Amino acid sequence: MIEVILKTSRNTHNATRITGLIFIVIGLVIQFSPFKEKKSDRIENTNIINENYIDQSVQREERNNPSENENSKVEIMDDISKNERSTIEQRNISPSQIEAPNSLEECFKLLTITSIQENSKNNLKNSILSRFKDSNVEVVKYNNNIPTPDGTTIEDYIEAVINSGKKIIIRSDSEKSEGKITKLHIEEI
Amino acid sequence: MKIKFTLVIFLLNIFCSYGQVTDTNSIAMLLKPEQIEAFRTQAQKSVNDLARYMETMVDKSNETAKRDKAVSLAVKLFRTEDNIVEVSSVKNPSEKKILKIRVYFNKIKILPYSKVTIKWYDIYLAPHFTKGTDGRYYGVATILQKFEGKTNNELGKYSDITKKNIQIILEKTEYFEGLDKKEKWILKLGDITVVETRNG
Repeated sequence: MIEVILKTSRNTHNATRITGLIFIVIGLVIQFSPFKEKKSDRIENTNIINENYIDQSVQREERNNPSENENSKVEIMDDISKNERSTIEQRNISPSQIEAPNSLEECFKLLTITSIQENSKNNLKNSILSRFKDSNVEVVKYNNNIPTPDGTTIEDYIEAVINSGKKIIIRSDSEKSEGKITKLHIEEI
Repeated sequence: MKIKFTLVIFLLNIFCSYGQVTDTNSIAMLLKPEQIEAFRTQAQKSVNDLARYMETMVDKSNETAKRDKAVSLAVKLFRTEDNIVEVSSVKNPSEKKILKIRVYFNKIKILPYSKVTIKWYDIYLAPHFTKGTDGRYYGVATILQKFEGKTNNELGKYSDITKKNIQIILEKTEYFEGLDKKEKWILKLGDITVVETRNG
């Protein structure tokens, strides 16, 4: 197309030649233009599509599961609070494929979501335990900033959180040694 | 007159020495009021946890694994597996059976009703801890338990309301942190006894 324009421009008036050159420049500008969709934008859009797809597939799964009636659906929606849902969505994962977050408090939060599958909870459980010196590390419960221990170990406490859906705050004064937690200080909300 | 004076002095002496005994027996000598209050809050939470685990273990719509887990979590709230639970029924309110905690939990898990519900309400925690002969400190939480069992056959439904006392135990334990010997107080649940049972 460029050659055609140039040939034409040779045989025509100077003004026409200039017009041809303008076309070439416009063509080049379009080719390497900043107005063109950026690659990162494309990835973001894909993520949005994925999230929508995941949301839809989760909803489809809930609809198709014969063991879950209307009440349990409501329960699931209640259980996954808006914040928790956004945590899951931000990470671009479905409730059945949870990856352990870096934050221990977030891990505990995910354990309380009833719609998360057993195997994902086991992964979360293992990830939590790997951050402790061993599974017998003591969990010290605080009330009004005063330690009120009841002899619970981290292994049992994880199960207690799964079973009862307790919401907890991890205190910054928890004890560590060589990168592993040796005593976990928490407050139950 | 002299005899009366001596008697008054003698009685005062007894009163003072009694005061000293009660002081050494009082947990207030060992813990600050805010610490005692914090432990009372924790005791309330432990009782609530036990209530929740019991609701989980009797609910037949839950998976067996979940119900079994609730049993072991409930047992761990107690000081020892030897702690007991008194059981009564409206048919024979004076006859109380005594079961060890794990036996009791496993029993209520498999009651022959198609649907069982256990709810605890009106939980009251006594403000004081008193020293027992074993050196531990004991408090008490009083609860009302509503039990309801429904069957699909002609037996129909059984329900009762039982007032129960749950022992709250505060125990001082020693532990080592490196080479340092330290002490800490630990809160556990103890025996559960029946106060009264009536129709629900």
